[in-house]
Amino acid sequence: MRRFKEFLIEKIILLNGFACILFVILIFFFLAKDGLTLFKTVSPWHFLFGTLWNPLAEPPQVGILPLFLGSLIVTLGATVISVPLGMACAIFIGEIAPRWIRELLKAGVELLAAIPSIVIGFIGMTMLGPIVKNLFHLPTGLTALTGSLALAFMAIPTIVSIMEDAISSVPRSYKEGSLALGATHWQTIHRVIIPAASSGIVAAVMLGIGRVIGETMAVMMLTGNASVLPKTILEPVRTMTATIAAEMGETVRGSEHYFALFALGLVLFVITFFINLAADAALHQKQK
Amino acid sequence: MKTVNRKRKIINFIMVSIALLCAIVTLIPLFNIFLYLISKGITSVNLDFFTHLPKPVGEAGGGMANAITGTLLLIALASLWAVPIGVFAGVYLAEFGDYKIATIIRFTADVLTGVPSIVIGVFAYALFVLPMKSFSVLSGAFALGFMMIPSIVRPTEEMIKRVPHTLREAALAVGISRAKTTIHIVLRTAMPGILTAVLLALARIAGETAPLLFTAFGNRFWSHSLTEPIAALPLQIFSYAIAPYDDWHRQAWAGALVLIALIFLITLISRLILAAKFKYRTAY
Repeated sequence: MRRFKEFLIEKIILLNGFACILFVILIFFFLAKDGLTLFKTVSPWHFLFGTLWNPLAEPPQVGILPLFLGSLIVTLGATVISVPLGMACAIFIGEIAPRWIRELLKAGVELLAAIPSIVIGFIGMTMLGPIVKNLFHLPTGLTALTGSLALAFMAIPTIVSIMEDAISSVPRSYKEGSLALGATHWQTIHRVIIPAASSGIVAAVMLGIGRVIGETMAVMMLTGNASVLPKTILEPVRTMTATIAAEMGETVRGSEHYFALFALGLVLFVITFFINLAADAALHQKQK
Repeated sequence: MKTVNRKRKIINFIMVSIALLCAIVTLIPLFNIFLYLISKGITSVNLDFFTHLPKPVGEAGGGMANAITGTLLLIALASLWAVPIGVFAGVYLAEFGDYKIATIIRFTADVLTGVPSIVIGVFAYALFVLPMKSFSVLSGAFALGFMMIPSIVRPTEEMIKRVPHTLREAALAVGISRAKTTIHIVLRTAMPGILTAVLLALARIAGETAPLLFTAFGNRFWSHSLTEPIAALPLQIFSYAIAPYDDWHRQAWAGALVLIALIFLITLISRLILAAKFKYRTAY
């Protein structure tokens, strides 16, 4: 009886250990099951490279290129803003700031990370939108740039905390050696610490991008949701995530629209999967 | 020689200043947000807000009592199923997993962390809402749980790995079985750390909106069973924020303030637990 109980506990732990694998497979399976059904009626080429997303038209147009480019432009914008700022922040927190400021800033960054995207979106609507509108004399403040700014703000905490970890895990002796040779503080940071922490820095950037590309609520509230091919960053765009969020509730099960939204979810899943794979590969390089 | 020295000192000064400037530029909006949120929300947070249902369109007043209870119920149910799975998965990784399998599990946990929340929503919609033919509390709790699990697994593993090996050896040496050692000795020692991880996971999902859009769905009234749609604070904030009524905007600000306060409270508690643990640690 006791043996049996032992056996049971170990098996339960084993089973839970496999839960993560099971869930990833389940998510993929459920998305693929309905998502791939779309390709019975629509060619993958038209789905991936079609320039028109109008699933309620007759016949439905389900080209995701405008949505993909919408996601891309918002993500690129956010990355361009958040990576340099985040990196400078991480360097400041990890290398330059005195101890008490460091603890204070780390707590601040943690709070920043805890603000839900819905709140960021709401504040962006009332604060950021009008600023962008007046600054560039636009008809609307809800543009790709507005979304990028808000998303940069959400990506910075992720980037800062992972980069800061990478920077502070560089052995102290490297820094001391460099300073002893007469290098200035900046030369030490630039030539010794950043190269030594590079794999962690790459991983931080990848995970930041991953967070941005999957963001839904703030993007839906701030980018204007126009499913057209974006030409500049000052136009309304519509992202893949916002499309699913806006349309999933009102589609009919089994319609082409429904399958297209699942296929879109599958595309998002695959993209974030590979971003994680890249981040993982970067981190493992470090361990070797 | 001297000019070279001066040049690099100037560069040093400039670059360090830039880093400082960037840190300030990043943190100013943070404090700005808090001040803005408090100034907008505080005037609408009153007793009615916590005790009344939303009023129909056009009538002023009302509150978000159902949304606040809804959010609490959803995160409670989500933890009910997700916490045991997450913790045991962490135990498996730290204590039992062989290298290859553990690597795969860690990778899938990271993938699960990275899956966009809206995709989790779609998944829960297909898995629960469509077969049950109704939006429901349960489907919302499941969606949130999927988001909790990965953020519990990895920290739990870390915490368990920090338990001194001598404790395990002592337990095994007096004849306690491996399973019992794991549950009664290792898990108990790592408990404060695990609790912190669980609370941080809770703080992370409490503000999630996207996974609830087509699972919990939202409700303007009280929900009477677990198979009915239910209101949640983030959902309510969303629908009020995009509505054109000033009164609803006021309520949305109040909701945002309450939501952030809830999240910060959970984060604060987790910090206190960790601080208490370290005090205890240094005692022996």
